[in-house]
Amino acid sequence: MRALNRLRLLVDRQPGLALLLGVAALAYAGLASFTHPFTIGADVVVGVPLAVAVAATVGRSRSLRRRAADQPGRTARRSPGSLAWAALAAVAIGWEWFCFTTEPRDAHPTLSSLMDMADATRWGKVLLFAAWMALGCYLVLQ
Amino acid sequence: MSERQWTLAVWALVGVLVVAGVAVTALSRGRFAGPASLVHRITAARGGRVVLVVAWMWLGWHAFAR
Repeated sequence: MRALNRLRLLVDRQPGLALLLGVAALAYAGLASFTHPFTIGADVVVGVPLAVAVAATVGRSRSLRRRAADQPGRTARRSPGSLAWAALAAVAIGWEWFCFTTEPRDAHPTLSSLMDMADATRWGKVLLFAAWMALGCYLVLQ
Repeated sequence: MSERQWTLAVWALVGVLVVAGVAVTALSRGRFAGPASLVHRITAARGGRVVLVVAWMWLGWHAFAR
């Protein structure tokens, strides 16, 4: 996606712009903290980053496909430590599944329950929402 | 210890392992791969990238909207 690549180049050249984008994302997270689940407001503030992510992922996939065609045989590098992280991810997913399928929920809190506890306060919700957007930005730019 | 406390203790252990892993990664000066290496491996395939982005979308929708 040309716009995305242009934005990456611009951020690389001007660190001030990255700071500005970070502040804007925090302000958006602050706005999101005033919404409540199961309301139109919450649907809209979550829907906007989702729509941006879909557009960026589609564009990025096209540009990566073009690059892959130019560089055939390019594969991901194997690096030591990946296996340890994969094992840790498997443990977390397994524990989440165990908690999700075991009753009562109050005795077996899932990650969602932990997130509900964290976003019960305004600042907790701002931080969680900002972290969620940062994670999405990172994944889309991969 | 109650069942809830055991469950929270396992989540805390997972959290501590993640933080310790990130610290080891930072201190190893590139000898030990960070969590990004796992993401890179998954996103190397287009399907993997789409799965991760969809999982992220679901997480946001589930946590903040519904």
